[in-house]
Amino acid sequence: MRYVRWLSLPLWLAGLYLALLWVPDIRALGVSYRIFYIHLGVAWTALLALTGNFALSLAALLSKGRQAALDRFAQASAEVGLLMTTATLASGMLWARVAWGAYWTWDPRLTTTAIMWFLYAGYLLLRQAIDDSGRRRVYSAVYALIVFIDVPIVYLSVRWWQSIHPVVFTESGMTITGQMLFAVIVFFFATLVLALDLISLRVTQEGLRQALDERRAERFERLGY
Amino acid sequence: MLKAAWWLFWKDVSLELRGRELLLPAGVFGLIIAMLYGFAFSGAVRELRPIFPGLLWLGIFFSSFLAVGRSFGVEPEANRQLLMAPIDRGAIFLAKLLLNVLLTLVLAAVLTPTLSVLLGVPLPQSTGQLLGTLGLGVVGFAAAGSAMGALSAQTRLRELLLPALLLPFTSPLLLGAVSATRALYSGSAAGMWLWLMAAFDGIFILVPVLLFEYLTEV
Repeated sequence: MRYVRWLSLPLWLAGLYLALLWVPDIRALGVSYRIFYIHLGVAWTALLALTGNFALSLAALLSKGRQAALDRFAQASAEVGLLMTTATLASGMLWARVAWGAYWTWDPRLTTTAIMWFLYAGYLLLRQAIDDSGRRRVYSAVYALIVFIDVPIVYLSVRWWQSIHPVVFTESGMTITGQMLFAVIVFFFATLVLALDLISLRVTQEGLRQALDERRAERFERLGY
Repeated sequence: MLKAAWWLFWKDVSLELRGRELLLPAGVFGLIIAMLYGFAFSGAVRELRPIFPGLLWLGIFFSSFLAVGRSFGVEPEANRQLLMAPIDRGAIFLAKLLLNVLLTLVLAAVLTPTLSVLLGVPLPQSTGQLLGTLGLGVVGFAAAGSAMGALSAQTRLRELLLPALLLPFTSPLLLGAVSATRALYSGSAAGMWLWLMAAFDGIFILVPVLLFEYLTEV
């Protein structure tokens, strides 16, 4: 994991070069559409991280021996997922201002993403409000499972309005090809590597913090408090 | 399991009948909301009918919210001792869920005609469909509220945390309930919204009942 960090920077630089200089303009959208490469990368990474949070929470709930470690990974992936969701919303809103004329519309994808943001902000709030580490693990895992089931229902409910969001995957295949596709893939991996890097960093931090707390508690006990 | 849940539910109902600690504040809050709507909207809009479904459901959600948020905080000591009883843990959750359904139903039954009278919007003609829509929306909110209430009751923030957890979570339910109620006025088909609410209700009654045991182990 330690060496992943060195991969993130060149991938980002390559991605930025490809997205901002290498790919040609689209006549209808001009230069503004170039933010789409960042947008798509962070959006896919956000979805992956939050799906990871679900899988890790389930594992943490069912595991017998490795709950604490799995819980740290679940927390880190939710944090990074929330960060990437924020980046998705921010980049999307900037583009929407130029292309649609408004920062915000109540389009199904925008609405679902916003609700998802609140749901996972709730996850971190819940974690913060529980002091006991065992209880925090179980409660946040149960919350994560329930919320993950809710997301498709949220999407279904808001999709029953008219959608104006561009779609990348359709039934007839992908709508982007050639150079654009290459830039998308490079940017996606750049973001994914960054996300994995951040997750491993947060897991290490949390592990150290918990170890420190344990030491401190031990020490207090020995001193007879 | 059902029998145990029923008796626990009955215990909470008789407690509520004696003390009225949940319904009374929540009901008063509901009426205050009705009054505030009057201040905020009448005069500004000539006809409230187009926004009445939204006002109605926000009123029901916000007032139920008070009762639902508190329901896991009633008798904390007894709840802890209850975990030692030889019953399925799911039954404890089911009993609270039934209580929350009842409380929310009562609130909706009071608030719907009150809002209709105060805002001057007649209720839709088809009473059966209105009751069905109210029922599905109320049960879903009570189920989701019980799940999130069980989670937030054991945290440092308690009920303060509940709005942040529950309200985004129930957004598909609110969309469904408002759209279905609007369809009652316009006479258009509300079928898919009713199905959506029914699915939400079913899933979030079943899933928390299955997961509740984990919550009681820590």
